[in-house]
Amino acid sequence: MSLEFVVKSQKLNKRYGETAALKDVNITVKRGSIYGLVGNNGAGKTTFLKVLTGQTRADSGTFTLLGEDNEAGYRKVRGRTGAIIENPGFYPKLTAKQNLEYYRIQRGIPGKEIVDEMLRMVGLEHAAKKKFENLSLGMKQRLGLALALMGEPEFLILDEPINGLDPSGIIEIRNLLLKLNKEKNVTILISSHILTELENIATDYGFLNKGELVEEVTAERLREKCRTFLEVKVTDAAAYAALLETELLCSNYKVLPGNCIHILERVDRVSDYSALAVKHDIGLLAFEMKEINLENYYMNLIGAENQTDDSQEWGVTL
Amino acid sequence: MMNYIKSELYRIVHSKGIYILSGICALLLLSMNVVLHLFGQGGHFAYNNTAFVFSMVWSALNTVFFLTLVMGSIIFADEYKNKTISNSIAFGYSRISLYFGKILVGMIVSVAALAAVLGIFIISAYLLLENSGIDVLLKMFRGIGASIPALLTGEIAAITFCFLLGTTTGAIWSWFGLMIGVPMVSEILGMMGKKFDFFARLSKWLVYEVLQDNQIIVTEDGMAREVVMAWMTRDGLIRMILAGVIGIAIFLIWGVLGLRRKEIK
Repeated sequence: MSLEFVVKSQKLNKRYGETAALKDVNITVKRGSIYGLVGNNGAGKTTFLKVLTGQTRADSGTFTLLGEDNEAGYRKVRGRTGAIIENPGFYPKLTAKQNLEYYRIQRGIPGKEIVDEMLRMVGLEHAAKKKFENLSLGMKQRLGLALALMGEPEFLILDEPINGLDPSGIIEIRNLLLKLNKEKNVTILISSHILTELENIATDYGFLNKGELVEEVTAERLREKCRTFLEVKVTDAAAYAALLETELLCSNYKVLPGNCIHILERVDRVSDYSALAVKHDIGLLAFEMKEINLENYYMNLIGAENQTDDSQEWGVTL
Repeated sequence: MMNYIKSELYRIVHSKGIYILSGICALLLLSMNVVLHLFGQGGHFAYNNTAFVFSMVWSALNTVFFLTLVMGSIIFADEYKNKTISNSIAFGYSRISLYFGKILVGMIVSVAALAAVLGIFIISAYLLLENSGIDVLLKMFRGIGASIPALLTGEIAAITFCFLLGTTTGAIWSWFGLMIGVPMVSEILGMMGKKFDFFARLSKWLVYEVLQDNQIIVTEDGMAREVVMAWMTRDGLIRMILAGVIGIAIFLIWGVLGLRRKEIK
């Protein structure tokens, strides 16, 4: 299959009663990419993934999944995908191994040995005979990943896959996903509220807020947009801000609550900014060089969406 | 669909539920044979024979109807609560194929469990009790055979309620309300005079009523009585089968229509 993208949604809408879970969502997941879906609780991430996996149906709009654009086609290609949506679902009284065997049979995947292989891959070989109900949260998550990876899917849909994992588990799973992406060209659509984790693997991002896609951007472009800034805490932020403009001709800054100012231009001129405070008897409480990461990029982005008056300030500078 | 059925059979074989249900049923029937055998040891005893124990089964098939609810919930296995149905849908199964898959698996497992329980019951009856001949065994088989459509209605109703309502508790209450409550109320209303004649006629076609429908014929001298179940008469047998087939059709249509746009939470 030589399609350039594995998912392309157009004007996807979904409502739950009065609440719009998805509003005209256009998302494109390129083949071979790791697409990070970013959003707060209720932003529409899980709803979007549920539409792709068939658990819910969109009210309007269309989407293409692995080249198919209708219900019968989706069902056909879903066999080539692996998915975990919300918490992984298994039968509590069956063991980890029996649960995987159950789904192996259901998916028509040949060779019983693949079950042990998958358990090994996610580090659960020692828990193969444990009942699912007795597994820890992290183990359950790993089992969910084993299920999603079984049968060599070409497209993985993972909703919060590192929930409950310990730090070493997070690293293992991250490396596994990167390996699958690099070596087997598996496309991955992943949502996570641990944004720093997404930063480590995603090649593309989609930012959702209140059901709307606020921005879709490549990791490369995002890196260009995210840059270093200077966080200054002073005793009188208003006076300091006025001085920034009049004396240093600096207009690219943001005044935040708590007498905190973020300066986004000429951050190398640290001495000028500190001298300005000293010269005008403004108390300098903190002075720190910081970097805009995915987390504050997203916060600023949805802040800009929610408060259009402020959008200029952040929208331009980022 | 075949893979789904195979996987469900794998799950059921590796779960305890079906063994516990079949074990309890087999144990109860076996206990009856053992107790009657022990009573028969003391001399003349009218009930230590196969005619009596087999009649106990064919005259009480309405109690088996309740087991279809238990079987239905074993088959459904809390799919929504466990979120297992989400996986099957994400792998490309349609809701309708999962629904029919469960029903087919329910039928296969029920037949297998029935065969195992009856096997233990019949063999122990012939080993422990006086043999009353093959006719009593065939009569029991006829009764069971005639009840199958009605029993299937009970099981399909249980699976349908589980799929549509999402919770086993909700399904149990709905099942009792519709499958037991409605026939009982209809029967009571039907007895309240001509005004409620419709309910009297309706109750004759509801599967739970059909299963327990019988007449007791007492001889003129009042010395003997015979229980005649609905399936022992031609009209009763036709009504029993038709009621079951209609019940199956109603629940299947209800299930298919309800599941078409069912959200998986």
